[in-house]
Amino acid sequence: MSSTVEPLCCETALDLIDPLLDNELDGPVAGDLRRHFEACPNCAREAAAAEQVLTELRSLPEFDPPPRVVEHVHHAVDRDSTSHQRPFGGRTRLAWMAAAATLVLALGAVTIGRHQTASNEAEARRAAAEVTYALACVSNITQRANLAVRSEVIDHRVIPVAARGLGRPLQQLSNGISQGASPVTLIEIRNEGNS
Amino acid sequence: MERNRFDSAVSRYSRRVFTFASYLLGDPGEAEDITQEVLIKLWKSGGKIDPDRLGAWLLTVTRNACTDVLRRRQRTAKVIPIRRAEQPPADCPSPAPNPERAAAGSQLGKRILKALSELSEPARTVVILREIQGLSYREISDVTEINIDTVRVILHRARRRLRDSLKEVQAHVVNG
Repeated sequence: MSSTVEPLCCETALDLIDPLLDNELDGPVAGDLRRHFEACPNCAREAAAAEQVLTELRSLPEFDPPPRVVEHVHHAVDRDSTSHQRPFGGRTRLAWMAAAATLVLALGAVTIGRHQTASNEAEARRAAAEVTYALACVSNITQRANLAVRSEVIDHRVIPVAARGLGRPLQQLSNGISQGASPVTLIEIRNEGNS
Repeated sequence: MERNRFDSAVSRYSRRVFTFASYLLGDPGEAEDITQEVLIKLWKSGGKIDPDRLGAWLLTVTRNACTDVLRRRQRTAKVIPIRRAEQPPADCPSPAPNPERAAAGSQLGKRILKALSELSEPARTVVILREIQGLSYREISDVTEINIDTVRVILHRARRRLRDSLKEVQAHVVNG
């Protein structure tokens, strides 16, 4: 800000107090302002008050948090780290559950597919309905575990094998999964299979 | 976020977060809770925050958390008094530093804290960050997401309001 030719009026002087205290005024303007204060006790009083307020504010200390705060944070972080590193904890455990369930279902579905030729149709339909329900559960688990098992294993390995010879229920399930059906939809399919 | 990076961020910024929350809320107990909450949020962020913006991010999160507390206070219309140094709470093993105790040596300091607590937002935040914590206008703008020119205007008005509310004490100081 450059020096003013005209003497400062009180309004301008009051507006310049903050920039003066922030050391943002050029020397000549700061000089004009100081001269104004010498001639104007009201503005000088305002400037003194402003300076004192800022001095008090700027002398207020910063605080370190009490040690217990940082201790609590470290404990919380330690607990969180431990749960992430646990070999069978959290998502790792879900992934193992999903893999195991998928394996069991794959074996079961193949068995049902083979058994169907020797059993009566009612038994086969019931078995298919059970597999459908179980697949819905596995689908849910694999979704929660964010695994690719759902599409790669269930859709391409388990269902085609189990559906072979079983007819409508599993084929319908397969279509439902490939269209991104939710477990709820799959359970509804199961109910339809039972009817 | 790696553990050692987190630990060094805690050492570096916990003071800044706690100070900001203490002055914004006027209650060291609540400021402790907020500080914990903010630092745990930093850990849970998983190192996604730009290290150059970490200080501003922490203060923004602190401000948001404090705003929630202040809103809750307003909703419940419950006045939470500033804990006094001479009356530490029974459940407080070591009295936490607090703004009122810091200003206890000066009558003007006490009045300033009271006037500060009466400022509305975002004026209170801007004054604390600028005058007590020494942030630049640019940094305040980053924290508050208010443009720099507006930050200047807010600060200018807040300083005037502080002066006005302290005129009585000022007169006493100047004359006495």
